[in-house]
Amino acid sequence: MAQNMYRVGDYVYFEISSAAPFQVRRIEELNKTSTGNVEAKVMCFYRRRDISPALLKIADQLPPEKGEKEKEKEKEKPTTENGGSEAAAAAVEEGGLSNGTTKREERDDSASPTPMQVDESTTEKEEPPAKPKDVDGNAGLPTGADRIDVRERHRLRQRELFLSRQIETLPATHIRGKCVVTLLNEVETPDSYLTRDDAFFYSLVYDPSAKTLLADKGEIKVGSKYQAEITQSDLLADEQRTSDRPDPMETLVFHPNHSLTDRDIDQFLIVARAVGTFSRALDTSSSVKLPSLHMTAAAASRDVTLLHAMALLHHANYDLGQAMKYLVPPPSKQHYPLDADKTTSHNTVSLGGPILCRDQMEEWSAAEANLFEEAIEKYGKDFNDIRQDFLPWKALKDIVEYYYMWKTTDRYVQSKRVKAAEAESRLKQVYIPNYNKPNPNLVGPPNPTGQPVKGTSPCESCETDMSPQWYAWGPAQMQMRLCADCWTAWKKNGGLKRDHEWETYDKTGGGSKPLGGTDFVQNATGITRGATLPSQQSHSRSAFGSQQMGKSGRLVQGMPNPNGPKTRVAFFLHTTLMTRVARRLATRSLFNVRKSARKPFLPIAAQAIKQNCQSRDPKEILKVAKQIKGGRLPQGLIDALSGVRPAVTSLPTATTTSPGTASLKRPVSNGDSKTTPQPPAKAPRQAAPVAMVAMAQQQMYSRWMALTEDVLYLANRSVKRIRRTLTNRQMRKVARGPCKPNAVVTKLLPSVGFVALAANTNNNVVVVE
Amino acid sequence: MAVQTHGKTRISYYYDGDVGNYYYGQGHPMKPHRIRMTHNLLLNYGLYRKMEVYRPQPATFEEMTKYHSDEYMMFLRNIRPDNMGEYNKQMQRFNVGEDCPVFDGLFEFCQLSSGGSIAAAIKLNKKQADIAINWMGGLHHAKKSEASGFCYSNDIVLSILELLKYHQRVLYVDIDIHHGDGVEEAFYTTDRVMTVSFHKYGEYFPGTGDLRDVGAGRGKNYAVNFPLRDGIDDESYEQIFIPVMEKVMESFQPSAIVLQCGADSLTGDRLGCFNLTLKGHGKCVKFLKKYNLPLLMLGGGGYTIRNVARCWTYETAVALDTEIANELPYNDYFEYYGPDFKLHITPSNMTNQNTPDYLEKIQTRLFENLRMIPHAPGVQMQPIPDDAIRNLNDDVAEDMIDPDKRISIRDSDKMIEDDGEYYEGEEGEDRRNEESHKRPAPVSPPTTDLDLVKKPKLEDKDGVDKTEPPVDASAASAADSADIPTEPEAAPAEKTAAD
Repeated sequence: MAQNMYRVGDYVYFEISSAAPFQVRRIEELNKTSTGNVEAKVMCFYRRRDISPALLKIADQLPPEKGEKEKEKEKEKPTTENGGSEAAAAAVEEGGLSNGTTKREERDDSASPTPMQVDESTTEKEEPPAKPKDVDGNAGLPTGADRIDVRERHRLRQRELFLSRQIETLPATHIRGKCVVTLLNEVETPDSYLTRDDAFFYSLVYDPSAKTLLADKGEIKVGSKYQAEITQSDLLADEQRTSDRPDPMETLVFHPNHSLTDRDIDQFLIVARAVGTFSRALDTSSSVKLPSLHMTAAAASRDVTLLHAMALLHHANYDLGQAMKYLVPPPSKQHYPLDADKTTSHNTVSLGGPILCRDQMEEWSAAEANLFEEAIEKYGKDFNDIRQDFLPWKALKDIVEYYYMWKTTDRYVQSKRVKAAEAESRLKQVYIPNYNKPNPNLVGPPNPTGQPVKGTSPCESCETDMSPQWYAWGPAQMQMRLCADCWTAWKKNGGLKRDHEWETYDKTGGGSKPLGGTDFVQNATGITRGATLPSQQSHSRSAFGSQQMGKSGRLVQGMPNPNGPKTRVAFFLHTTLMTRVARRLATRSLFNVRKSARKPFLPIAAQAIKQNCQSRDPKEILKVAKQIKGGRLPQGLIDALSGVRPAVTSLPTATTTSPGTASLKRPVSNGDSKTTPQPPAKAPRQAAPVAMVAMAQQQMYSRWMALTEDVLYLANRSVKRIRRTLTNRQMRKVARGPCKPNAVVTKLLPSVGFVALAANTNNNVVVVE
Repeated sequence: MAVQTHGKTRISYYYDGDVGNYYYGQGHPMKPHRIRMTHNLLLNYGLYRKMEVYRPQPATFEEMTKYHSDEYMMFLRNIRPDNMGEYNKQMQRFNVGEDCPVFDGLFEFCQLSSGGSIAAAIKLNKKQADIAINWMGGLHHAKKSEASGFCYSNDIVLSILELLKYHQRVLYVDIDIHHGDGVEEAFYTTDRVMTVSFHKYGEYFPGTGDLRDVGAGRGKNYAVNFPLRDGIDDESYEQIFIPVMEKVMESFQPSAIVLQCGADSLTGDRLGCFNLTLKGHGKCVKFLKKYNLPLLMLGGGGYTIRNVARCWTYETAVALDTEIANELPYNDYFEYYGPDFKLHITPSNMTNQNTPDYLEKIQTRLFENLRMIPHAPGVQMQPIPDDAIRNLNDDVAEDMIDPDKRISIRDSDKMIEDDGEYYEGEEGEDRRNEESHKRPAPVSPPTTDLDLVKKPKLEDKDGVDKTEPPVDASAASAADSADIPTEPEAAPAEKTAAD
């Protein structure tokens, strides 16, 4: 049971493709989708097979970590045939410098911003695919790896992973068991991993976009800029021992060195509460708010009363009689220790009569409390804004104090309940049963008896003849087989027990020679995967950011945008005139706007609507078109409608061509900028006159297209002036058709001040109906 | 265990009522409010009345620049949310903005946190407390000229610098889940401060704290780092903490200890990934307390605030040798502790990725490093009260050596501070005689007399209206430890000088 319970923070195997080894991931978040499925947001670990051999070669040949004795300053350059990679390799060791989060300025100074960057296109051609046995270095392996035989080292290398700060989203049902990934420590030996199943280690961080490997290490800096100045000599001589602190450096608030017993103090505190109850009865503002005596007593028992009573006791020199007098001071400052207020940051408002201590919880009126709740609903916990816009007469610290006390009230609990329902989609753990479906690579029917049978050829990994199950492995034409155990091991470790030339066959589709270094994460699941932006990766480790990656908006869905994070693809929905006409002409049963709006997932019979429109009399169509356009119908269109039927038959059918798009207005935004529907491509399908109109409009909205992405519209004074001259009707018209060639618009456009923040049109989607 | 003749530990506790109202910003996990929650629990558990409670003066600019660079402190003093725009470049340079946001009262907050820790250190230096506690402090990531990990000013470094005025060697122990990089860096090259940190290492803030980071220059082997992995539980933690600390105490022989009690190493912490409970966390306090050295306990991380308040309340009780009920007392924030409203927390069933093999190997390596430390000359690792007395006698001896030397008013004030401090504010009236309540425990007369004879200068002050034989504070403390060797007082003083 427990082993099938997966929680946030667990390291797990994911099966992305049945024929490929599992992928190792760490669960960062578990989210329930609207369909009831669970999606896991995971951090990616890369295997050696996923990384370019050239890059690995450099990493492997790093000099072994120095023992701590020689570690300081000593840096030995590795000897490689390639001078460039030598420098790069050296940079790896210093990777800690550039990757460390502690010193930003240092980062700029580091010699190579992208250490070990390898241009794959060239290096892969130059060098033959590296086989593990070609790799001599032991860098990145546990201490003592140089003493184990080749076969064991081969297996050990399979346990080596590379952390990436890349996050992706996968369906939780693809989880295939737990594993453990740890940062390799130098005290560990190969046995620490070889003797444990499902145990992996990493020591370098891989950046998939920049193709770099870096050491994940911060650094303690040495120098007068960093260390405290300490006399290495002896202690300060006694005469120097005078404290630099001006007196008094502290205020005593309470001490235990008195003759009062615990019971004495308890009794005094009860009296203080009793006085508080009485004082609330006298205080009109309190008595209004506290309807019952019970509540009054509760209000008088809050910690501020107790703390203040303790302070008074101290100021009374632990004389109960005196302290009692302080609780009911005469109207004279001579007879009351105002200093006691500092202890509790409470303000004694008036002297004379029973003392009244109230915290913010009580100070606030019901109206203020309502304002606060309204404000917190609107602004969240941005207390500065709350103060500015809602409660300017309150001090910020009073608002904060009130907030923390408000959290204990029923009203907060209620508001939290709403939030809790929202947060329900975020899971802490998920139960995934064992996956029992036979793998497609299984040869023959499943063998439930578990009786070993002889395979067609010995296992490619362990060379056994007998196994309960056999799996096809390697390129299909080679007819290679793996025994059941080795198949599982291959899935988990991404390699066979021995070095094998087809070890990475799954990555090349089994046809050509194995090659490493391709970006391997296939998006087989159809779930959008996010990637942290390369520019942010170097900064991604913050004290809490590292655990909350994604929550802070660092995660971007869809394609990485070089210009920075973008929340969604901007699109501009343009409804052609003919579509609008067709909609109007459609019968209620064909197209009911209200019904469709209420049920956006209900399919709309676009084809039927179109046909319905086509079957109508052109005059009718023209009439409707005139209704829509208000008589200012382009002549071309009128001609087309009155004379040429084919124009109508070629009504654009954008909605029907996109499968899965149920609603007429659902934008086609598949996130792929390359396949963005291009309006010009549509135009040739239309009959000439209509096309002309479309072209004219095309120009208009292509102008808008460039701006649809994150547009900041600045209305300057002249625009505002023009606006004022417009009638309400004109204004509405302009708003409805912002790209229509319109006298008003042309008047407006030149003076409009646009500031396009990211003038990148790639991600714009213009939908033409 | 060492003898404590006065029966109970004297605790000085530092708190400012304003601290809970500083707010880092929406969504920020660091919440100073947790310190107020702790305070209210202490009050309602009745622990408050067992301690000397102080409100520290805010640290001054000069005090803070004892470690931090002037530029950095100037920047912190000037920056406000409403003038951030003018400081873009400096904000980047000092790493203020993202993790360490600019908030209202930022500098005051630093002043309070640092002021508390400095005052606490001074209190220990003056031997006026056995343990000083400042839950407002413990901000161990702050660097000399840079903010980091929610920390702006490093109160720990400032307090250790203060302790170094009186102590040849100060030990810093850090049980926060994060590496105590700021403190380690500040004392990386000195052998007078040993920093020991137990922390999660590997893809975790701040990225430092490797086993191989051992210090540099004179400070080589004086930085001890125990890198840990996810899910460590009470049992494993104790198994490494105690042997490592025993070894550290044996080889370093400090005369004062600073313990950073970051509570993010507890189970269920918002940012943490360990599996400790209050018991395991508190055991570290218990263990270090046994050495009876001046102990400064500081706060630190901790982002599931109800557990932070639980933890620090429990640890205050541990310091006070007081048992407290598992049932939480009613207080202003009682509702935060639902649904169980208990003090103690239960560990989760997360896997402990620290295999016994791994822990043992790391420990062995640390022991090897500690063996490189030259043994501190002249000071044996003795049961404990010796040290306290030795330094007290320093003062006394100094007076004896140079009886004609005029001590400054300030110094003489300092000497009587012990008696008078409880009554400051009472002007004119000297009521120190009530000091007798302070320690009703038997005072061993010979030692007291001895000390009194040796401190003639103080007599005119102390002699007035006493109801019992005048007991100077330092003398009383000396008397408290009845089992001190009756060797000449001057000798230990010289020993200290030889260090």
